[in-house]
Amino acid sequence: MPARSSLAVAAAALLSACAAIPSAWADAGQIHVYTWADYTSPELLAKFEKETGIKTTVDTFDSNDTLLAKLQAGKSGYDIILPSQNYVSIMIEQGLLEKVDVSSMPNYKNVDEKWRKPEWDPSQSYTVPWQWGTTSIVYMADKFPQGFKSYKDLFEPADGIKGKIQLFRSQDGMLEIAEMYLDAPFCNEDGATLKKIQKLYLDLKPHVKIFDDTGMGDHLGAGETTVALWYSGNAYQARVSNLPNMKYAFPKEGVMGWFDSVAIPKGAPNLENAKKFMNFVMDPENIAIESNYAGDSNAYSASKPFLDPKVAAAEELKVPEGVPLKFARQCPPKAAKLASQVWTSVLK
Amino acid sequence: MSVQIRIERVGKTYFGAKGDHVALNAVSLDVERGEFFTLLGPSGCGKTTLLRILAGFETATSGRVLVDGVDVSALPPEARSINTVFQHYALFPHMTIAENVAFGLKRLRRPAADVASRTREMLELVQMTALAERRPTQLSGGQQQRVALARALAPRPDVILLDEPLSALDLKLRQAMRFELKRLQRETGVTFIFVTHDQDEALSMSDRIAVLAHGDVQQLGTPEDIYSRPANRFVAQFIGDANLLKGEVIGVDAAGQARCRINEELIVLASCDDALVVGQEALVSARPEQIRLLAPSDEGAAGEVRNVAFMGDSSLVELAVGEGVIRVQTSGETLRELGLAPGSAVRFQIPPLAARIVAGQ
Amino acid sequence: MSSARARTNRVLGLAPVWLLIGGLLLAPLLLVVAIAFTEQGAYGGVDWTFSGAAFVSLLYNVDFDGTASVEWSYVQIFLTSAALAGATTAICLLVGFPVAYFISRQPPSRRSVLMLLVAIPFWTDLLVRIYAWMIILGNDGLIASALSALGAGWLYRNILFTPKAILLGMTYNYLPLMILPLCSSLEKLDGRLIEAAADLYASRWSRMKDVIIPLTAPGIAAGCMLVFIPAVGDFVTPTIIGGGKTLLFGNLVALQFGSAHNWPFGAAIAVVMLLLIGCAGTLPLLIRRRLGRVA
Repeated sequence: MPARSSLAVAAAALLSACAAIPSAWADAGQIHVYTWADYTSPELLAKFEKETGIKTTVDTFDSNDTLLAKLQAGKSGYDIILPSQNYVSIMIEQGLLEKVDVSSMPNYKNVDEKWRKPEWDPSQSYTVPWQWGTTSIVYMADKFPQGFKSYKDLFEPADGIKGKIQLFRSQDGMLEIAEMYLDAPFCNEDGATLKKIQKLYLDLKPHVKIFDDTGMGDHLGAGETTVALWYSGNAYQARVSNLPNMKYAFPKEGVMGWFDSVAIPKGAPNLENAKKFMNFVMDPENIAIESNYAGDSNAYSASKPFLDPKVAAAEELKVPEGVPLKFARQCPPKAAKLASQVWTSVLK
Repeated sequence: MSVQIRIERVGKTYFGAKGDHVALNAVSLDVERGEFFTLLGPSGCGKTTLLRILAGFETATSGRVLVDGVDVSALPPEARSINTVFQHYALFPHMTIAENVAFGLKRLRRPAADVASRTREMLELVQMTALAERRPTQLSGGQQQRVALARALAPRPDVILLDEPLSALDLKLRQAMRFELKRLQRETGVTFIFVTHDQDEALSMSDRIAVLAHGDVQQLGTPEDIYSRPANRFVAQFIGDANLLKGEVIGVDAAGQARCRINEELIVLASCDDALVVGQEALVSARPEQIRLLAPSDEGAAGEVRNVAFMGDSSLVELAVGEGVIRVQTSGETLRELGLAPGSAVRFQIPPLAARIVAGQ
Repeated sequence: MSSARARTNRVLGLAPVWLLIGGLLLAPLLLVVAIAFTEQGAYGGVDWTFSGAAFVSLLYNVDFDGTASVEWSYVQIFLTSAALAGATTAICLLVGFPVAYFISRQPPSRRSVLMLLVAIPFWTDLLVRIYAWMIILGNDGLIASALSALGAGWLYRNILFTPKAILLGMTYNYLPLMILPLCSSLEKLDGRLIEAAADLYASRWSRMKDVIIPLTAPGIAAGCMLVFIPAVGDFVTPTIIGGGKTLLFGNLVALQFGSAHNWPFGAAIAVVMLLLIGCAGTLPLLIRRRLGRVA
């Protein structure tokens, strides 16, 4: 889950400032959950409390970096965290997660075959699938009827969308999109390719109206923009609530995916309760509650009967056959540094 | 001499939420060219309001001000050839003394050479040449006072207004500055309109004085007039010290003199302006220094010493006379000769025409 | 009480002050300086080995093809930031001075009400205030709707997501920081000095230029500093209503600590910015010292 609206971020900052650091001692019946703001269904937590008698306390973070920094700083006091795929691999590598042998849990059977033992947790010893989605281009179909078939439509914009484009300000995903367009691998370290990427964005910049990670829905709705980068879940919710003409594109070169998992930080005070939560999440009926709340996809086909029909039918959540779904990796330091160099040079 | 400033029925009312306040009540005055004219009165009498109207800082609610026959009522301060010496000098703290003095000349766009020479001349006039490059805060009160005067005089205004300029100085300096001010006024020949609540200042420097109270002119005249012939009870009491004695007119003659009986023993021959009728009540003002103390054996009214206050060059004696009290100022010599102490019996006389019948009961 | 004990008490009594200054002001600053001289950590954070690389990369750029060249873009970013912040300061001064003058000439009771009104925007969050401008300026915003309702829609020019919008937003945000110090400076200004100037033939303009401005110079300097410093480091306003297309100093720093994961570089930029602002900040101090001889 790459980012949330900045108002939510502000709210999260306020909340985390108000909420005391979770107490380190283990109450018999409770777990501390550290999650994104507006992301974890209160209904789901209530159901968990009702079924197990275990009380839940929720704190929120605004980025994977915040979460990582908190774990790196030592005893966080949290029992459940929700990191994205590229951070899961760092956390495993740095020994920040509790090894809990997910594959032997009773409800593991509900996880779809294709989502078992993913590349970021090949032995499925640390994480339980939570929600996933994609990051792609949204556009107002009434103003740009020809639609997006390829990233070419972005990098060589038609006159109708020039000056009406919103891109992210943070570099998350930006290089990957260009890499997919150029058919180059992620985490590129090749100078010539990076130079090409830089040129692509420098040429596109005059036609971009806004570089911001937030406010996509507002700007599209106000007619300030016609095209934006957004997350599938947000796009679905916005279309349902106030932007019926908005369409979510699946360019033929591929679409970027993100995948959030449930994990337990090393030294969690309520390890057994946290494991109960993991198993609880893998129940199709339960994970459906979360999908209905966040409007994201999950890794449990058995949850379909419990899904809100609107969510089940959402075009935004269905990656078409033939469109590659690519998950970003955490780039090695050299590639990461080059990436930030490219993006800084584009923005300045 | 000719009339330079004519104040015509100038009134000023401050309108406020908690009621209106009349500061000036249709005051009319003429000030002559080259005159040292003083507005004298207690605080709140309207004298400062009148000064601010003359300077242009405030607008009169009624009436008008003429300078050399021209109505200046609508002109802002910067358009009037009138300069002010402020009570606390209001020297510009970010400028040197010389820059302060040159300020008005520069605003009038005088040539640089003229500004320089006139500034030098003014600094010499007030003997401040040596401190020309200092800042006002580095100067004593008296020095600041001189600079304020030089600054006001430099642009050669028609009139200089002085708003209690000596009140911030200590006694010695205040007395010295009186002569200094008078000298400067004489040497420059500029009309001075001086505002004060201090009767000594007013009496010692002025050509003419207007006594103000409650927004009205109580009396206009020379210091001599004002002192010796107070027009009313207020002036008599405000200027110097006066015994005010209630009596009955028992005789009037053609020369404007009246005989007044204060009590059985004390009959005073007093000057008066108004037509008096025998038998009417009158208020007689007699200055303490004009009353003569006599030995108990001499002829005069009787009194008993209540109190003697030593004042250096003289003493003030309080006499119980009948029901009332009379204050008498007398020399140390007389005091010793008569051997006066609280309780001693004494006689006194009010010399003919030393007393005056004043208006107002 | 012995004097030694009195001294001990004095030292102990001041301990909270030193703790506050040292712990809350100095320590974070030193931490930033320290981070500037470290190696970039792998996934954000820093590697605690001494390095000047961050400062070198401010001046030299090694391109992706390995060629090294002098890096002008950061100088350019600084100049853009300084120009925008300078323009903001100038507009705040031009708009704020008359307002502050008006407020300072009111009776004390009304004055405090007006000062409160000036400070009221600070009661709400910065983000909310900036988003409010989006509602006012946008294509279907208040101005556009009002103009089109009057049949004058063609008059509307959308300045949202342009440098003009940044200027407007920053001016609005920082105006109170200009007005309040100006007010307190103008309040202390002796009204008789203005009367004296008028009395000595000074026109309105001359009264302003020769008396009021020189005497309120410390307040003007304080106001300008208070506006310029946050404006030059502002990264929220340019991002939200500037459309993020103009990269300012603050954005550059935020980017390095955020998605670019280059803390040492971010810290190095912050340190250089601190030094430059520090130099600019001493100018008004010098002015004040010169005027200090007066007061």
